[in-house]
Amino acid sequence: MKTEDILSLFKWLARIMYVGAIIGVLVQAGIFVTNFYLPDTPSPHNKINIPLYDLRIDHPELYFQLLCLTILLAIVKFLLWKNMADILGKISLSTPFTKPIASKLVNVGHVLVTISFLNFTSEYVLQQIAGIEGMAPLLASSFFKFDSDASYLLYAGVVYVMSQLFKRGVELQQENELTI
Amino acid sequence: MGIVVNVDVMMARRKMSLTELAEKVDITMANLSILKTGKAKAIRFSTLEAICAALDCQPGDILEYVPDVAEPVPA
Repeated sequence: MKTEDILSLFKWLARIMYVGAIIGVLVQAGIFVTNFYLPDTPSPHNKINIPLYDLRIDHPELYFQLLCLTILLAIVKFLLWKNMADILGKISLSTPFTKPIASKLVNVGHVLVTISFLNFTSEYVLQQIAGIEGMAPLLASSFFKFDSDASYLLYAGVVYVMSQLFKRGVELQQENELTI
Repeated sequence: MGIVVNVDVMMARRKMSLTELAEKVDITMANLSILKTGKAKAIRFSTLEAICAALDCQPGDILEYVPDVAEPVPA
């Protein structure tokens, strides 16, 4: 498979994930909006009712923390895929090192650090909720699963190094273009 | 100032146009323009050799070092 084909495949995958991330934001927001009208919020992934209504009534501070973190995380993941789709859409193999792509890579690094931070915070809030009686279905729901390991931090580090290499590449490419 | 490119001066002395020089050196007008306006970051020995051959001159006739003038310190 040629590099162009692989890039084209990834470009389409990133676009699909981008659309998926938009749907993700809408679903996350929708779950919390329906919770205001329906006491039993059905989980979109498995057939259990998430006791969000009880959480909102009994522990509003934890509910709003969970609401903000979940929606923020969905928005940040949407930004990640938007940046990825932009990078793969703009990249050209003849002149790969450009300033817009370098700055997009820096953005991806920042977004990954933010995702990592939000995951850690969300996991902490879930631990608080775990101490409350009757919240087992919420914890069992796949809707509230956060990657609280350091994987996103590792990705952020790798992308940061790549962005710095890209910045150097931009300088070298400019120098090469201005060598007569 | 640093390195100043005096290609235009040599071209005027030899009464050679930009198009003619570009043809003789076999580089594009755009690249010759970059060189003439001092925007170039580097010049290859092969290009310098071709320009010197076309203009019948030495590298020193084309490139000149002009030291940066430090601003006078007010008394």
